[in-house]
Amino acid sequence: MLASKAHELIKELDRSRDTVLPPYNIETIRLCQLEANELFRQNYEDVQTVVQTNTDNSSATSAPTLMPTISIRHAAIQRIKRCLLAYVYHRMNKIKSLRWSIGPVLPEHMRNNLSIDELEFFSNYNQTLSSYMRSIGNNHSLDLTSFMIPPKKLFAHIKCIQDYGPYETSDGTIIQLTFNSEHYVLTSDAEHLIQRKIAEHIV
Amino acid sequence: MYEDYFSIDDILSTQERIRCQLLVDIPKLGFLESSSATATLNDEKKDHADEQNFSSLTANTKLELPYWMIYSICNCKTRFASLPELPLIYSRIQRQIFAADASVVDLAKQAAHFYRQGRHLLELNFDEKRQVAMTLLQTYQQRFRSIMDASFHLILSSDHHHHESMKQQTGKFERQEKILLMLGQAAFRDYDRLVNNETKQMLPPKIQGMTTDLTNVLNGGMNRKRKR
Repeated sequence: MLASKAHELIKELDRSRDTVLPPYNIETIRLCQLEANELFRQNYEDVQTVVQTNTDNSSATSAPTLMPTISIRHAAIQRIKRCLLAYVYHRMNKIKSLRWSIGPVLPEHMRNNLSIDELEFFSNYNQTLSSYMRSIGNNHSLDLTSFMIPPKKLFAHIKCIQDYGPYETSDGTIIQLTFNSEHYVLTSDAEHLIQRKIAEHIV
Repeated sequence: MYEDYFSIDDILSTQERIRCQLLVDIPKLGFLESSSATATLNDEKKDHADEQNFSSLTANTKLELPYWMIYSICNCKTRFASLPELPLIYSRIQRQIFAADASVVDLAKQAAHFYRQGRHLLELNFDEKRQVAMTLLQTYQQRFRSIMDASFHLILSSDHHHHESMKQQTGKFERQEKILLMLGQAAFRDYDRLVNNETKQMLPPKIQGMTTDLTNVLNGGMNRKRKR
């Protein structure tokens, strides 16, 4: 059946929708491209013959028209194109969300699932994002990925969820972080501690 | 046809096969007719396989083709194929079942893309178009209540029994209904967070990452809804 490989690709995409990024399926993509090229070649030939018979005008009615064949092949080419583009597009979106959830450095097993172009895209996206984050937030950069909700207060009430020991806050005082102890610290410090899962925020 | 070009659901729903009858000869594409091709392939030798590939589909053969192919040959100036036959799930008998009680039909099993596929189908020309459209609408209206119920009540607990009953109730939902359910649950959860004054709480980034994933899903759902 025409474009069945492309459909396989989409089914694979559908199955992996809620999971981590599967390996880039280069073989199936190659096959799809070959199929599309082959269909295009055949169509090109048939269009040539159609044009020729039209100019000759001799056997216009006797030979069966090739138009249906051409239009079906054309539809198949478009279909393959659509599937391939959708495949790349969805992977791109996933890679983007990886940058926001995991961070600038991908673990090895994830890197192996990306194609060369995707790795390049990831590093470019990374650069764009980090240069943007450097440019905002007055003089020091602002990490947009860590806390996406703007702080409501200057200070925050936090509760320790592990024994950490002494911790120096940004204003220089040293606080003892022991299990279940509660502190009232600057929001920036609180963010830092929450991010590292040392403390949790009490509302 | 390409209202959401990149949507996985849309691509999958346009892959469903529909029967139709050809009106003209289609040269060189004999291999599309799977039944005859395989039958003769077994009889003849493999050498003839190439020949088989270039044989033509003759007029009046009945074929099962994917929707996208049907669309391309039915909706052009010179029609190549007759009116398509309705897939079983939209047939008259099935429509009567929907009319009787739409909520009992297991759409997840019978037609995972019921609404989408139906909507695509309406772009083709066939006799019972109006009835099919009405069935789609009424089915949605009847089933909507159970979706809403499920999204209000089947959250806020993680125990096993609850999970099972949720599976039982939402097992019959098709794709679009599941997206709707997820939207409803997320909205309900957000409302709950707001009421409990939890929106101000700062959370470690891991959970935040999950919520962004969720918002991606939600945005996708929103777009779909808006386009409908």
